[in-house]
Amino acid sequence: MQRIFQRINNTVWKIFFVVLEITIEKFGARRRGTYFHGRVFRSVLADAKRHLKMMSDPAVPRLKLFTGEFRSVYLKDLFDVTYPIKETIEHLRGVMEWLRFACKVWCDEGCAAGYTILQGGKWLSPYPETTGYIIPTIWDWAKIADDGQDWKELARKLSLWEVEIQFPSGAVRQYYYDKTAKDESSPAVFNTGMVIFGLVRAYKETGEKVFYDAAVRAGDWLVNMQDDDGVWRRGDSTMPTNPLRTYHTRVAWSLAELWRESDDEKYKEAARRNLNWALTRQRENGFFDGAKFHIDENPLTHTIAYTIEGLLGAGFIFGEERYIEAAEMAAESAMLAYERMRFFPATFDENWHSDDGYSCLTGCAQFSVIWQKIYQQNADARFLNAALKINDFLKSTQWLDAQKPEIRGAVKGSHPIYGQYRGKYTDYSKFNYVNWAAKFFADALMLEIQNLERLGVK
Amino acid sequence: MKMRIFVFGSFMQPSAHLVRLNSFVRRFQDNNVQLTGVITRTLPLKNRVGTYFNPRRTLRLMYRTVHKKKTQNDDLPVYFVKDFSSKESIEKIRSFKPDLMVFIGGREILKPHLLEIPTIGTLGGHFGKLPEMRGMNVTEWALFHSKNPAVSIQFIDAGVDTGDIVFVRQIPIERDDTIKSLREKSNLLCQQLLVDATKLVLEGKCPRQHQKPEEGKQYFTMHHRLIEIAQRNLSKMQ
Repeated sequence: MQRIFQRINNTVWKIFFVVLEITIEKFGARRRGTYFHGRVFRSVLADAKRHLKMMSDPAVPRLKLFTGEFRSVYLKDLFDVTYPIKETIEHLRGVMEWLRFACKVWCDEGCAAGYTILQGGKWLSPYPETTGYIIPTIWDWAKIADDGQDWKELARKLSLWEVEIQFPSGAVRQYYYDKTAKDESSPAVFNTGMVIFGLVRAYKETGEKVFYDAAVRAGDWLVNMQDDDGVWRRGDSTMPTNPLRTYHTRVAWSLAELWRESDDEKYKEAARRNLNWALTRQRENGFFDGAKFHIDENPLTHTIAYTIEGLLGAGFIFGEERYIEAAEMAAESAMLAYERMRFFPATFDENWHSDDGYSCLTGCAQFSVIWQKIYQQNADARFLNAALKINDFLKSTQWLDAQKPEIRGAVKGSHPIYGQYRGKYTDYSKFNYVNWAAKFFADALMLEIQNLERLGVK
Repeated sequence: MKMRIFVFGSFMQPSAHLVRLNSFVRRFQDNNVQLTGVITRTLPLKNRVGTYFNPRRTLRLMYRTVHKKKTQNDDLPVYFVKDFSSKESIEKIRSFKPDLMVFIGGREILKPHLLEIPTIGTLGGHFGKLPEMRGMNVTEWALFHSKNPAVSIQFIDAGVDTGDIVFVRQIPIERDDTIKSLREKSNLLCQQLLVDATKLVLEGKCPRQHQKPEEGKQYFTMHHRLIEIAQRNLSKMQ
């Protein structure tokens, strides 16, 4: 008898999930500008069949795996329920407090890569790469925050940790930090570049030579690893399968920052070599070939943004119009695609088209930063307009009133948190709140406050 | 030979749809422009359902329907199509053999195969100064840039507001004007300019100024924080 009840219970759950998933798929389509009509009912049978198949896939997470607020997050995303949009400063404070928490869980020895709601919820290991570029964000926030001194202390501690874990060669390890992995077998070009941002900024703010020396060591290693044509083929992360990574322009930008501080021409030359190579990878519509992690997939907005950020940042430092123009061209194409779709998908193909039903929130925040920097450069308010709209979208995905501090104010990898199901899951860091999304969101909000203040809007 | 002129538009809200259609048709009749017919969309189910559940709107719709019947006594046929992009609708519109079509508004982007049907072209209004400002919310965008709002009449092409320009008229800003009142003024001016342009086409004197895509920018819906700036600029310009 008990078994029968259990079976009925399971069946009810299954039907419940099917209905939920169908609903969200249809609501998901709505986000992309279409609307609910009779066609939905005609396709329900076909959908139900597909979803039943999906439910039998062991990779598909079950709602009952989640408890408390995690379940709430999942359900809210499922039904496209958004969080209230508050004052920008409240969202900024929320995300910065979460970042501080992510640093405190590892006793300021690096910033936790993120927090996953799977397995009952747990913090991920510290991530040297992202901690590197989070440091400048913390220095920026320290100038606005009431407790600025505490933030400065935190930024300094994180920078010291970066120096401590740097390989003697100057390189920075790939992926997360693992105390047990002391060998030099896994250096990563991209990660090394990102850490330079933190070290250079720490040196600028504190004047402590230890940071400068570490940045120079890292820069020298990068110059040595570069091929004559400006491409880094050696010594990069082994996880991405793409051999020619156009998003290394962000590494070139870090070398430009180092050149500005050290005045050493070799960094400038290395940076320019890579940027010049990246320009050859740009199409007429602004799209960059190879701005992706893996072959045979469309690039994420995250990696497209890395590429643009690199060109823009280095272009500003070197005062070279062609880098800035290339970045603007790509940024404008992305902005037009976003405005036309009224939704920012996670990936784009080479024609700036996408049929994704989910967003990569890191990419959204990065593009907000790019559009706002371009607005500051050319005063074209369309860029600011798009950035304000995408910031509102990001704010609406941030749960500021969550009881759990692990998710309060955090930014998800994907929105919806589970990505999208199409025979298999496509996603970006699903079920995780990641520190790099938080970093770029904070940058975007600080720029928003700055830009609106300049326009006299409070 | 008599020119075959059709006005067409696609509105989602029944009441707005009929009010605007009626006022437009009346304006053509007042200016002695003989229309061949009106082509409009059948409303999607969701809008009709919305109407039936809203008693006030239903009453208004009933009133408008009666009113519409009165205007139809002037031998002006109203044709309904499902949409302006499907094959059947295109074939139906093609069978009317229009010489000139006048687009009186709606939310659809008109596809090239529809625009190819009329022998002379399709006239449409735009609430902004062409070629500089294309796209949406251009009244607000003009104010954001501290410029007077404008209305342009163009021969619609496949791009977004990139067709040949017929007229561009600025809207003077008066005391107590708001963004809403300026949009209303734009609407009225746009209706009159469409009638004037149609008359010029009939007389064979319609000007056509070609515009290049790079001459202007496409704008999109404005964020409310920027609308605050547009409003502030408007009060300075009064």
